[in-house]
Formats: sequence, structure tokens, C-alpha cells
Amino acid sequence: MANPHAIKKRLAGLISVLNKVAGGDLSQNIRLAKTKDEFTPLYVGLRRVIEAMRHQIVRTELINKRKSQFFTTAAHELRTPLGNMRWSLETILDDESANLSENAKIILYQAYDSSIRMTQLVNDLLTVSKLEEGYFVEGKKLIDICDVIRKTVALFSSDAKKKSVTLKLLIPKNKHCKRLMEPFFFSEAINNILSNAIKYSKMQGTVEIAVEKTRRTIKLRISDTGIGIPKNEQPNIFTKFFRATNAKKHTKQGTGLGLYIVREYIKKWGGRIWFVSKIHKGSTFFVEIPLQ
Amino acid sequence: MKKILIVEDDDDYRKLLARKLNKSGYMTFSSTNGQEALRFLKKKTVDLIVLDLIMKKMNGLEFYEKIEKETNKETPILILSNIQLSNINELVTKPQIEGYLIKANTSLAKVIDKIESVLLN
Ligand SMILES: Nc1ncnc2c1ncn2[C@@H]1O[C@H](COP(=O)(O)OP(=O)(O)O)[C@@H](O)[C@H]1O
Ligand SMILES: [Mg+2]
Repeated sequence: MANPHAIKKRLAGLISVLNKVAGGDLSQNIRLAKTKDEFTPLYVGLRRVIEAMRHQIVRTELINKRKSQFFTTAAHELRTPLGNMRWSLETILDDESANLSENAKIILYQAYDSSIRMTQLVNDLLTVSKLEEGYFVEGKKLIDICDVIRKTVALFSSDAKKKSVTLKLLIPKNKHCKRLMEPFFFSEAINNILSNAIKYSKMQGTVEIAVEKTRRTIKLRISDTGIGIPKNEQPNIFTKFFRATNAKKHTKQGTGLGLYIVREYIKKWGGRIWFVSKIHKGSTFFVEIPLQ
Repeated sequence: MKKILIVEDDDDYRKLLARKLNKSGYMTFSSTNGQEALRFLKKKTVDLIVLDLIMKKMNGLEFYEKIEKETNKETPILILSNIQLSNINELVTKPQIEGYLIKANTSLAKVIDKIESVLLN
């Protein structure tokens, strides 16, 4: 191994493998030369490093899977009594023959609202920890974005009716907006924006959802005629747990996690979200997602 | 009067939902697990099945695997569960499955909305 040219060549080979490994490519197979020389320990060492890294990845995947299963089960266990509370209170409040006094009704409504808030908190905290721990568990699928939007909007008709809010959906007919993404997460994102629009609407307001498809992107516009967002608080609304002062006054219902979650999802899909808003006049949220 | 079968092992949830459905003008039947539901469907026909997932004896997914073969029925199914499976998206595109709602996240009024819209189609 005295030939400097040969040494240079082998070093270059080693460096190239090292660079690939550093870049996350663990598919490198290190073959050992038949005869031992000064380079052999280097090759052996490198091979061990790659094996250890592969092992670590398998382990991490397993741990993530277990964690995710734990979260799914924990969420189920938490939701079961919460949902029971919610439906029970809704039932008694709906029951005219229960002859509740006004005072009793007010108190039961507080409990009802709290049960919803608690459920929302459980859901949002779970979503945030999943997002932050990096296991975005739902599988991707080719979905029709317009179809998911139609279905999600339909779920809000009773909420809108309760506040006499007019829900308008402008969506291109017979247009396919297909994209590979996580459908449940997508409907959750739409759900969060839309539930804000209705929640922060005044009575008799209007909420409009417009979908526009261009060649490369899908654009959504969700506008309301509600309370708006104070100018000085606008920079904060995507921050975890942040709720604007007028929003807190308007309703206790809210975790301040919804828009943070929406933005994290949209980032993962390579899109963006922004808004314009005027206090007392209303807000419009824009979402743009590439159809890749 | 439209007929709905509720498959749900939790007594409280089942009774609350049945009551709401009855008030909204539906006739309801109840089973507390998949096995019971299959037995029921071999004799009777309903317009919609509301299906819980986590149940002893036979869970919702096992029930779904069997309903076609054992009862030859293509009744629409609305999954109503507190578990948020990671393959919800796959499930809702399967034949017969018309939706998947999380109980705690959905008011009874919204469940009725959904049922109405499924029955309209
Ligand atoms: N459509 C809207 N109209 C007015 N304010 C909004 C709207 N959407 C979001 N906001 C403001 O942004 C804050 C953060 O939104 P979000 O994360 O969804 O939390 P929340 O649980 O409070 O709805 C809200 O508390 C509110 O101050
Ligand atoms: Mg919100």
C-alpha cells in the first residue's frame, strides 16, 4: 500500500460513502477487500456505524408506532366520558318536558359548553403532540379536495342555522381537484377555519367558502362578516394557545390551537395560509395548496 | 317511517341516540355488538346502520367484513365511534360506508343532520 495514487483513490471512495451516509443514505454496502491492510479497520468501523444507524431507525419507527397507538387509545378513553356528558346535557337541554327553570338551563349550558371545550382541548392537544413529535400518522391518498370540502361544509349547516348565519359554498362543478394527501387531516384543517368563521360570526352573518382551481394549485377563500381581529393582535393568531381579546369576550369556546394546527398541516402540504381582517367587519382566510 | 339499527355496546350512548332518533321521527332497533346485529339483519331490513367500532364479541370492523357475505345486504353504514383510526380515509371510501363521525366531537343534532343527508342520497 505504498502507492500514493492507490491510497488517494481509496480515501476518495471512503469519503464518498461517508458523505452519502451523512446525507441519510444508509443503503451503502461496505465490501471488505480480500487482503487486510491499514484501511481494513476503517471499513469495518464504517460498516458498524451504518448498521447501528439502521438499527436506530427501526427502533425509532417502532417507538413512534407505539406512541401513536398509545395516543389513539388515550384519546378514545378520554372521549368516551366526555361524549357521554355532551350528549346527556344536550338531551336534557333539548327536552321541553323537563321543565327546567331558566337558571337551571343557564347552569346546564355552562356544563355543556365546558364538556365541548374539554373535548376540543383533548383533540387539539393530541394533534399538536402528534405534529410536534413528528408522526404524521394518517396515510396519504389520492383525494378530491372539492369533495372533502363539500362534505365538511355540509356538517356545519346546523351550527350555521343556530346563529342564522348564511353558508355559501362556491365550488367549481365537474372539476376534479385531485391530490395526494391525508383526507382526515385535510377535513380537520377546513373544519378549523370554518368553525372559526361561524363561531366568530354575528347573528345573521354570512360565511362564504370559495374554491378556485388553477392548473397547479387549489385556492380557498373563507370569509365571514364577524367580529374581526384587532390589528395589533393579528401577528399572533397562529401562535399556540393565543386567542384575541375580542374573541375571548365573544365566546369562551376555543383553545387557541386551531389555527396553529391548520398552519402546520398546510406547511406539510407545501402550501400557505394568510388572512385579512377588519375589526367589527369580518375576516377572510386564504389557503393555497399546490396540486403538485 | 325510516328504520335505523344502532349497533353500540355503551348503554348510555345507545339510549341517548335512540331517543334523539325517535324524536326526530325514525324507528330504531338496537344491538350491543356485531354478532347481535348480524342476527338481527338476517331477519329484518333497515334503511341505515349506525355502527360503533370498539365492541366486545364482534367489533364494528369485523361486522363490516361479514355483513355482505352473511346477510347479502347493502344497507348504508354510518360509523359513530370515539376512536379515531388512522385509516379513516380508507374506511369511508369502502362500499356501504357513508361516513365516520367521532361521538364526542359531534352533537346529537349533527348526527341527525348527517343521517338525514345519507338517507336523502
Ligand atoms: N374568523 C375569525 N374571526 C375573528 N377572529 C378569528 C377568526 N379566526 C381566528 N380568529 C382569531 O384567531 C385566534 C386563534 O384561532 P384558533 O387557533 O382557531 O383558536 P380558537 O380556539 O380561539 O378559535 C382566535 O382566538 C381569534 O382571536
Ligand atoms: Mg378555532
